[in-house]
Formats: sequence, C-alpha cells, structure tokens
Amino acid sequence: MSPGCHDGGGGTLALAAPHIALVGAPNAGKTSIFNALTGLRGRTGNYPGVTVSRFVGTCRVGPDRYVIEDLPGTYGLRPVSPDEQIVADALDGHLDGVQRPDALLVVVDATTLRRSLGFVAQVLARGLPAGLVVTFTDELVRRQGALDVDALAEALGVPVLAVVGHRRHGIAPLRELLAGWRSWPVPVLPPPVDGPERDAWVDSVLGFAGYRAAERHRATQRIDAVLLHPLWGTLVFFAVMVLFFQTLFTLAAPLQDVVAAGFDRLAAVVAGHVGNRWLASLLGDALIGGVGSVLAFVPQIMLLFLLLALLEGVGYMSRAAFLMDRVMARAGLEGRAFVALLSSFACAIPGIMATRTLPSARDRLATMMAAPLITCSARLPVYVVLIGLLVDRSGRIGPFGAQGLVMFGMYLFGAVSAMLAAWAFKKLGDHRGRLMPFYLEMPPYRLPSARSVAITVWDSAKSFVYKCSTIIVATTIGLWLLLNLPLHSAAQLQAAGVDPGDRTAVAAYTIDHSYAAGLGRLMAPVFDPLGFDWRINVGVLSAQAARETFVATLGQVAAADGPGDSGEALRGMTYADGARAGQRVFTAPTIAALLVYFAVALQCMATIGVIRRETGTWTWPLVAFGYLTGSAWLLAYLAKTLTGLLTG
Amino acid sequence: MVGTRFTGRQDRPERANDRTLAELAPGARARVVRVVAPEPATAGRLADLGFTAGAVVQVLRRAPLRDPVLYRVQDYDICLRREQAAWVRVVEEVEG
Amino acid sequence: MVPMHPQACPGDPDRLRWIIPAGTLSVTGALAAVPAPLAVLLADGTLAEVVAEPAAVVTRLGRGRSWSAEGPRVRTALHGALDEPTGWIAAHGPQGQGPGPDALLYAMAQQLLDGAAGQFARSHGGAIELLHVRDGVVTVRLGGACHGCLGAGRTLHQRLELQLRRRCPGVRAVVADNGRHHTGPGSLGA
Repeated sequence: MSPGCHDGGGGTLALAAPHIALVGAPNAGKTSIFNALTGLRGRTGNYPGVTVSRFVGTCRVGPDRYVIEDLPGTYGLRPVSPDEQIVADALDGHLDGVQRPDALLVVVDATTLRRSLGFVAQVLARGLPAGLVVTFTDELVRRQGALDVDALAEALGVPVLAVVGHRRHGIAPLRELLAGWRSWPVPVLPPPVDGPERDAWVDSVLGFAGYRAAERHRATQRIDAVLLHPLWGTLVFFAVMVLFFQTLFTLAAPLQDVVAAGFDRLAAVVAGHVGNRWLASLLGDALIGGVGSVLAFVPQIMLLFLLLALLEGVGYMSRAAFLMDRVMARAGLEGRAFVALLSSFACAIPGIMATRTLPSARDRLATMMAAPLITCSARLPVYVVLIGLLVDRSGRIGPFGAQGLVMFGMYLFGAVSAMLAAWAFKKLGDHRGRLMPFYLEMPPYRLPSARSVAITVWDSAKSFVYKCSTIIVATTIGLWLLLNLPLHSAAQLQAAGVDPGDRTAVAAYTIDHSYAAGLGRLMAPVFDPLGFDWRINVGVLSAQAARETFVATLGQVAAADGPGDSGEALRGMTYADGARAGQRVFTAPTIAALLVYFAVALQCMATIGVIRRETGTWTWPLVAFGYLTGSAWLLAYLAKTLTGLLTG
Repeated sequence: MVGTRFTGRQDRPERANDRTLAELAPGARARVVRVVAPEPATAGRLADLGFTAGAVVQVLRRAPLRDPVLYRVQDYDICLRREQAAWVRVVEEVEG
Repeated sequence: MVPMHPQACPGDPDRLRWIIPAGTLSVTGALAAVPAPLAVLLADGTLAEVVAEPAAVVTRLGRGRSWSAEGPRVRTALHGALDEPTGWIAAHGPQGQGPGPDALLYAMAQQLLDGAAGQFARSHGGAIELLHVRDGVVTVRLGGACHGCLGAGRTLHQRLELQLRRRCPGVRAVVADNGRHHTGPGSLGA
C-alpha cells in the first residue's frame, strides 16, 4: 500500500503514485475512459507469461500523479479463461510484477445496468475502495430510459459519476474524484454475489435509483434486420469484407510505395554524399533501406487498424463474428477469428496483431500460428513470376485463363491450409481440457469516438515500429552484408575477366562469390531434392528478410540487365554444375516446389517479430518458424514429385 | 413479433417440464429456471451474463448456419452457441 | 424474494437501514413482534433493535457485534422475515391499523430530506424543513440560502418530488411555505 500522507507544502517525498485499476465489461466504454484519463501517455506490453496485452498509463491531477491500469474486460470475477484469471489475480495482488491496485474504477454501461450490477456486487465484495463510472447515460435517456446517479450512489454506498466518454462530459469531475480516492465511502456491508439475494439486491438498488431500462435501440433493430438477415446479411458481409480487403490493397500499396520511394530518394542522397561506394551502399541500401522497409509497413498497419477500429467501434464486428462463427467453429475457432485471418490476406502482421480481439488465449495462439499461411500480398510478386514461368499466358483450362486459375488455387491453398493449421493447434492445445464457453455481446450500433480510434491507430503503429524494427533492420543489414561481402579489388575483378567499370557485371560477380552464395551452396544438399540450385537458395535466403526481394535477388543472381528481363533470364537459366548440369533449372516440378515452398514457409522476419511481441516469448515464433519451414520442405518435395509424375 | 405482456407469474401454473433454451425457436419468450453446466465456472459465467433464475429471455434470431443464436436478456442482446444454450433450463411463456 | 438493499445511517455505524418497497409492511415504528427468522437474531443478541419505516427496516447491532461479521446473517434473516408480512406487529397504535397515507408520506419525505435531497440543499448553504403533510400535499419551509432563491423551486421538484413519487405514488404536490407555491412540474416553466 502506498503511504498515506500528502505533503501539501511541495515537499519532495518520494511517494509511490497511487495505482488505480479500471474494471468492467468489454463493451462498457472502459477504453474510452482510459484514453481520456491517460491520453497518449499509455504504454502497452504483456502480462507476465500470457498473450494478454497490458495497458498502463499515467494521469496527472494537479501536482499528483496516478498510475491507471486498464484491466482486460470481463463479465465476472470468476474466471473462465487464463485471460480472466489475470483480472482476478491482479485484484488480489497475486500477479508477479503487477502491483495490487489501491482503488478501482468500475465502469458500467447505463443501458445494461441491470446485468452490470451483478458484476459490481462481485467487485465490491473484494473490499477494495471503489468508485462507479456510468457510461452511455446520454444513450439511456435517448432510448426513453432514466437513472438518478446520486440516488444510485446512495444506494450502493460508493461514489458514482456519469461520464459520456466520447463527449468527455464528466471527465473533469472524474479526475477530481480520483484525487480524493482516499476518502471514497465504502459500503458498510458487501452485497451478496449470487443467488436470489443478489437479484433482490439488484432490484432494490435499481428501484431506489429510479432506473428505467432503455427501450430497444430502434436504429439497431432496423439495421440488423438487414445485416443479420440470412441472405442479405451474408451478402452485405461479403461486400464489406471485399471492400475491407480491397481498401488494404489499393490504398495501402500506393502509400507503401510513397514511403519506399521516399526512402529510396533519401538513400540516393546519402549515397551521393558519401565518397566510399561500399559505405554508401551500406548506409543507403542496408541501413536506410532496412529502416525504410519497416516504415513501409506502417501505412498498411495503420490503415488496417483504422478499418478494424471503425468496424469494432461501430459494432459491426460482433455481427461479422455472429455470421462467421459456424464456419470458424469447424476449425475450432470462433467468429472473431475470421477478421484476423482476413486481415492476413493483406499482410500477416496486422492479422496477427488483430488476434487481440479474441478472448481466448488458445484461440489467439492457434490463429497466430495459422495466419502466416494465408496468402499475403508479399507473396504476390513471387507468384506472378513463378506462375509466369510455369504456365503460358494464353493457356486455358476450360473457360478460365490458366494463370488466373493457378493464382486462385494458391489463394485457396493458403486459406485451407490456414484453417487446418488453426484446427491442429487448437487440438494440440487441448490437453488442459477446459474449453471456453462461447458468448458474444451484440451492442447497439454507435458512432465511435474519433479520438479513441485515433489513439488505437497510433498505438498500433508505435508498438509495431518499436518492437519489430530491430529484427527487420538486423536481417536486412545482415543479408546485405552476406550478399556484398567479400569485396573484390579492381585487380581481382580484372583477373576474373570482369570489367571493373561495368556496375552490373561487378554486382553479379560479387553476388556469385559472396558469403551468401557460399551459404547457398552449403544449403544445396537440403534443397537439391526440391530441384533448387544454389542461386535459388540465395534467393530463398534473401526472402527471409522480405518475400518480395526474392524476385530482385534472383534477377541479380541471374545477371539480368534489368528487372524486366528477369523472366527471360530465369527461363534460360541452367544448372551450372552437379548431376543435372546443362539442364534447365525452372522446370515444372521445380517451379511447383518453389510455389509450395513460398506458400508455406515462414520467411518474413517481421512476422516472427510480431509473434514474439504478441506472445511475449521466443517459444512461439520459433515453433512457427520450425513447423512452417519443415512443412514447406515436405510439401514442396511432394509437389515436385507429383508434378514430375504428371508432366512425365 | 410482439407478444402480450405476461403480468403475473402466480396467475398461471408453470409447465411441469422445463425445456432448454436451445430448443426454443426465434420469437419465443421464456423465463429461466436454472442453469445446469458441466463446470461451476461456466454456470457462474452464464449467471454473470444475466441468465439467472427468474430472468426473462427472448429468442431473437439464428445465424444463417443455425448457430449461434441471438437472445435478449436483462435489457441487452447476446448470442450463445447451441451448446451453451442447452445448459439454460427455461419455462416458456406462452402468449394469450 | 422482496427487493432489499442496505444503506448506512449517517453518524450511526451500529444501525443499518434496509430499503424495501413502500407498502411491503403495513406497520411502522417500534415493533412488538417480528417473524421467527428475525426474532432469533434479537434473542441471541445479534440485533438490539428492529424498527419499521414506510419503506425500510432499520436494524441496530447488538453490543460488541460488527456488521462485517453479522451482516450476511441479518440479511438472510430479514429476507425470510419479509416473506411473512403478517408476522410484523406494531408496538403501538390501533390494532392492526397501520399509519395513514399522510403519515407514511411524512415519514418518507423526512427520510429523503435526511438523505440526498436535503444534502443537496445543505451543500449549497440552505436548509429544507418538513412542516406537514395533508391530503397528499407536502409542505416544507426553505431556510438559509434556500430562502428566496430561484433555484430552490427546481431543487424541490427535481429531487424531492421525483424521489417521493417513486416511493409513494400518492403524493400530489410539494409546496414551500413562504408565500410561493410550486404545485408540480408544470410550474417549472422550462
């Protein structure tokens, strides 16, 4: 417990700031209150040992500082999942590294007050000083309801404040209330927590407070008549999902290009001013390029979180989960997982971050392990090149273009394999036996607060940049070094028959004799059975930083004159040595193997970084890397063999 | 679908056999008798969600693939899967 | 089970006021007899006194007892006792005759003035005194800063009448005895 005295005379006692926790149901508006109190001074991380995000911030009221913690939303203090155990443990002070709160702010929705009082009873029974914050009182009145907040305070024996989160009404009184936390009245007798006595208590309190329940929200009823309709609702849902998906592709891509172009220009400027060509390349390509590639993700992540926050804030997410639940249940998941997996079609990173919306830790993990299998946008350039090598542009299967069909097949393969992986991980995690019951509240449609949405978007971008940049930059620099070392002097070049003035030839020679190439040759025994030669191995290695680079690296390795020629150069590429010397590398079986390998393998270091960040440990990213790379190899081998049989 | 207001429980004898929430069709209205769940934590959670003895539940609609089902209880809307709804024993309130 | 919740009695930690719907009990004041569940607590010293009000039951702890220890038992016993309204017998007054509606209204208004409504006035430096109740019309006198204050009308109606009407539907009006008559929400003029 923090010491109890305030030195009003401006003394410099080192007092621990009081620790106030926000508790309440998921849709009660707790996050709005948290944001209003802490602004952008929130910090996130994980609770020890679990995949649950922790939101802690500071609030200043006058000279005093308060630490505010936004505990995970829950409907009751009797936990049904490890996540909710966090809330119960935090309130009892049983969490390692998490201080027991000094006081609680219980946030309840005025429109669901009858149900919420049951939760209030459980909280009050814990014995901590508590204040009640009632939200959505404006909506209650709009829907013909009524509530006397002062009478409610008298009935409960604790301070009660009405706060309209998105309009910031009541925030100033709330801050004043916080300042007086030590003198909050406490109930003489803790209320009964269950049984008929509890219901009698709730009835009595509501009666004393003059509570009139809100009528059903008309607008919501009318909108849901369409949006939850078996036919129209499903159609609207698919339309929304397509729009969501399309927006990510069409809006994010140009934004990404802008960022990338900006960094390219910066790199060029730097290169122009640094004399040493090697150093210029290190700074420009590796360092700035690496940072640029991290920041290039940011527009996409921000856009995705903006869309997610809007959909969630409006209340449509519950509707989507309702419609998709049965489908997701086949994979052992639930409706909310659909949106996380859908986001992965753009990029697995925001998809993995979106798993935070799932209440079950096992669901989150299973979805995270499956998300990398979904065909993300980075795989697209690789698929385009490979399919171009595999199938003729004019080829047709029935009425459909063969190329398009194979592409569709790859997307389908991604989706199906992801569902299978999710199912498998869900099953594997079953050993503890306890399955979480499914329930999903359908809140009325509301206009989300612009401020809350903005804070969510900013927070997601910030956390991504801080936590993932190290891995991506390190990998980019590392690979650059591998591909550009050892350096060769002009004399060495000439001795090898390469004109030192010819930049392209020098680059090709450097890569041919780089450490990466050495690694590529070293990896040959592993990838030989798949039909890869050492140059493809180098490309696969470089793809570890980002999949798109596979095409560029391969082009460089094939000593193409420019990116446009890579297709032809690759087609004509032959094995330089070994058993198949002289044969074409990119035969159908090899291409099939490459396609499958890229479809399955976890090559994106940023993804590994995000899994690490979301799970708080290295175990799961390594598990993901292991199982995906291993499966990739096996399935690629299978593909190669089958294709070999099919094409004779 | 508007049902007539059911005013006095004591006026009408209760059905001898109660049913589960899962058996009710959309549009039905029922009163919770008790919750029988495989684990006490789950029963507690259903109580937390408002499914307590005496609470009135309305069945609103089913999802396109028939599961989950949306209910209205204690002034708010919540959906449960058939599996969970089967643990809530209710007595249906008949119109008229 | 009768709806019931406890509220502290300001300045009196031994007493607890259990709010119940008005009219649950037809008796008020000191009690000659209470139903068995409560009688047990009186007998074993857990409770020293049980007094009925129009919309509450006030219990006083026995000597040396605490609410944290005895509270839940008292609650359960009260619930049981309230299920037998005929077992509550007044210690005074005509046999079986409860106080009239005006008396009930008086007691309720007094309770409210002791609580939130009065507090509001007191926090602004004023005072409201209950004079009398006749035929459902409650007459009060405004004092201190309340006297002559235009806001007093609103205070009276929004707080007192609202809460009073909630508990006793028979209230017809709340008026101030200082020459100005406020006879219901219509006079608010807003």
